[in-house]
Amino acid sequence: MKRFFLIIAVAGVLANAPVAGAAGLTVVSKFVAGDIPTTPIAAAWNKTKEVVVPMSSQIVAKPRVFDLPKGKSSVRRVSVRSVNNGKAIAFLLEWEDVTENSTVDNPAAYRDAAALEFPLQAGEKKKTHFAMGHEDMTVNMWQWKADLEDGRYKAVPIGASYPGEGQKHSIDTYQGRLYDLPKKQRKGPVEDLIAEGFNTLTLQDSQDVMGKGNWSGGKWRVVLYRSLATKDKEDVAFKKGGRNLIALAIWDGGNLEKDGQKSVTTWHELRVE
Amino acid sequence: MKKIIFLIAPLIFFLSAFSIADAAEKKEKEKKVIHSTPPIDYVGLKNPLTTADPKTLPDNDPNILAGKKLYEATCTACHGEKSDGKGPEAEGYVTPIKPVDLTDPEAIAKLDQGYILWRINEGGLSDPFYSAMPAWMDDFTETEKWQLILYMYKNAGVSPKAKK
Repeated sequence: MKRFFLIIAVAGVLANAPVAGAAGLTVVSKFVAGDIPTTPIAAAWNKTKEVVVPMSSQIVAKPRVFDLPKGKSSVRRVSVRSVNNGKAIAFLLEWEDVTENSTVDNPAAYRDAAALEFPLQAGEKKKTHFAMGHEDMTVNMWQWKADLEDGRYKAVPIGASYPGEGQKHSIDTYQGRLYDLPKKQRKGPVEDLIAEGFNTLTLQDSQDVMGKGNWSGGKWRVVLYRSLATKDKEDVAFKKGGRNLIALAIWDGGNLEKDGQKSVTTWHELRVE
Repeated sequence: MKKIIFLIAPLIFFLSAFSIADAAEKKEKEKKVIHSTPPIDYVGLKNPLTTADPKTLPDNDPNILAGKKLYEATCTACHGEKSDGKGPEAEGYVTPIKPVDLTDPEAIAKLDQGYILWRINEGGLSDPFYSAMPAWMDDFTETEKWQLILYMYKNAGVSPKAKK
């Protein structure tokens, strides 16, 4: 009899597990007093509820994953946690990756990377495409790159994707503005970017996002954090009690994923406590 | 301890039942498919390859075979081998419109082939869709697109919307 009730209880818990439907999942940014965790191994993350978001291969725009040797991207799930202290907000992303790819000079692999995406116009769920936004619907991207870790962000040229490829062809064309790339500076392994459609991804003048990644035991744990609000009009604004949309992307360099070849999610909800 | 389990387990069960009912209701709402008005260029277009109901074409029909090849290379990922919208890439593409279950009587069975051509060409990049459906405009020839449409209907086991 005891076993019977135990089975019912377990079944009940499983039935209540979050499932992504047309409304999407909700990531709650938990309010914490004091400092927010800025490293992936901070104990504070253990007290924060994770939301596991399903991912799919990027197929909307070229280059699609069909061209990859496996015909698909690697990552199928990403765990997301978030905390804020009323002044700053942090996200912890965790996903399985059997190989650490932290350089771009390995001819057999590309870098591992991850990105968060937010529409600048919060709440415009049905009017902003999750894949890089579109004209007049700008998205703010926070892209962490493994090859920029451990101070290497200072050495990697701005705009350069991979050795020999030169600058990204689109990086200086956003809204017709010419960006003086050499004058831009990263502050860490995370790039603060904007886009309004495919091939418009642009490094912002003001780099406001920080982060830290750690690979261990076949898993990446990456923290990205920023002030809740900044003075930069190209940055998404978060506010206490507010709601934003959030989407994610992950690149597995070991699977030769780069640029548009990646795992993605569509929009989910972010609720800031 | 037994008493606690005896009291808590049914409670969890009933709460779960509400959750399942809620999920079923959500699922029903999600089922509603948006059918927009296609641009005039696509209205009333007929499939130039055949006037037959695609569902009745034999498996070895050359157009069906060609369409099958294209479907398996490009559509199966999301719409699935069985056209049920449960392909291996469907799970991450949930908002705002998940991959369409082509076998659903409310989906392509309610549409004519010109509408399907429009969706294949333009994908979900624009209002009101904003879905993960790619725009295949430049990837296939016109003949290939019509072959693909024939196979879509046949594989889904439904017929295009009857002419009025």
